[in-house]
Amino acid sequence: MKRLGWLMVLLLAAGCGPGVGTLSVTTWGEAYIEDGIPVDSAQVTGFVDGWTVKYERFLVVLGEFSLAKKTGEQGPKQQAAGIVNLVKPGPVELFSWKDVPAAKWDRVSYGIGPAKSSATGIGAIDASDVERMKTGGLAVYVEGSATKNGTSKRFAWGFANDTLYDECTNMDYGDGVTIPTGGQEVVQLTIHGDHFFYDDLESPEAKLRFQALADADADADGAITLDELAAVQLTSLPLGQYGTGSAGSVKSLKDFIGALVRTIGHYRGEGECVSKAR
Amino acid sequence: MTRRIPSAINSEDLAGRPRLPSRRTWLLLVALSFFSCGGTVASRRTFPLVVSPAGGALVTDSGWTVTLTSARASLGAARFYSGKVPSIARRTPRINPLEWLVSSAWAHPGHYVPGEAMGELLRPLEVDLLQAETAWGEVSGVTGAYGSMEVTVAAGGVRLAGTATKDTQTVSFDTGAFTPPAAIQAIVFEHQMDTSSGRVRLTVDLRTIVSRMDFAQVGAGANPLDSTSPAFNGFARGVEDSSAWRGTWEAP
Repeated sequence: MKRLGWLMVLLLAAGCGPGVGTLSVTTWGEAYIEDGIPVDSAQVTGFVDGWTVKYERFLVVLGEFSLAKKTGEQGPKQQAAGIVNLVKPGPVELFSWKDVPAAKWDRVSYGIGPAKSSATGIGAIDASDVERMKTGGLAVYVEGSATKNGTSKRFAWGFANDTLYDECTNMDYGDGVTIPTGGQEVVQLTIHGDHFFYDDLESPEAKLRFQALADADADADGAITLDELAAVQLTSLPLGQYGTGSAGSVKSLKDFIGALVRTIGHYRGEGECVSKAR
Repeated sequence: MTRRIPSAINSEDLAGRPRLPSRRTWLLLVALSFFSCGGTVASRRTFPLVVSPAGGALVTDSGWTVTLTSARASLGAARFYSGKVPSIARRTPRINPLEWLVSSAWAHPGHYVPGEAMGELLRPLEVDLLQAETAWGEVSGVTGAYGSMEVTVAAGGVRLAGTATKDTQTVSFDTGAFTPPAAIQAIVFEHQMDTSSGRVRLTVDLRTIVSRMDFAQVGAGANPLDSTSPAFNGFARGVEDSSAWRGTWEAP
């Protein structure tokens, strides 16, 4: 009788198959993008050279979100990219999926790439900003100002870098995401706005600096352009700053910022992905 | 990690009473678990480390052709680790050079994790980098998967001297010694180390070391080179560029 009971349980389990759950994918720029980046202090990590930065626009094109397994099984994939302005307060839901097969999807990836015509604005974003990204073929656009002792410098930089953030993992949640049967899971694609200002590409001791960028304003018009950054060779900067580790092809401040822009994408807060240039 | 458990351990007998594994089965389980992980017991071994220059024609990014009359390095120690260098370090040229500025990396500075220490050589070495090969010594290590290495440059630093030529201009230079304040980490060395004979070759790419030097920007002078000049700055950055250093395994 006992054996018969076990047999019935097994038959029922085989007939049910895996369940499904719901997944909501959001993005957020955290306080650094919404409120600004302060001077470094005992309480908060900020600029070590006394500057502060306030973003006015932080536009990102997020797409290609994909669930897969390391075994090779492919799950759902995002169809159209969304353009968000992360300066607007609070996390933004990019999309949600119902009926996601309940499983541990341990290979999650997403892309930040040039806006295509199919991309749509999501959340509180001006139509003109959506158009700016599409017409410029931009993946990331940042606009804002830096201030120190009454001196202010403006910047408005657009990047067309196409980057895949792959194998996303988080210390607290593990690799990817687990969708429970009948449950709802939220995955946040967290964008780190402070990364633009790191002074080293590899060192874990990298610090936030702005002085070299401010000094790049060659025509002293108060606006730092990418062309002005391109004119600054790293060899003109103090040793110990703007180290490139093994990325020997990074020669100028523009190269440097261009390398850092590929590091802004994170996963569920402080989680990381493998950033792959495309 | 999934380990396959012998069915005898999990099965129940027909009476519903769990069957306890025998001592022999336990031994088998341990052995199976061990081999299912693909692991082997790490054993101690030593292997030689030699140092060689590389670089071919030395032409800087700013178009100077460099001829070295002296290239010396004072090395303090070499250490080997299990952690692989993320492919940010792999200078694999692509069709579009802008696309390989950063090819692949963890999305954060400091993505290189050395991992477990696998071997070390603590004997200092004064090496003439114009010689084809210099024996450094025997590394004390263990078998296992090696992913990277680091080299400490000793107080004598790295020092280059020679001439740089561009168009009709020739500059005689002597960099003086530069000692990086920290060890040069994240040097690529990937090898599944077993007990087979062989050696590690540490190649120092002189072209990468001089590539950032612009001899039109030597400040107060090139011989000795002004240590506050952009040319010296480029030299120092070249020494610290971990892609200028590379370890490879050579079987006999």
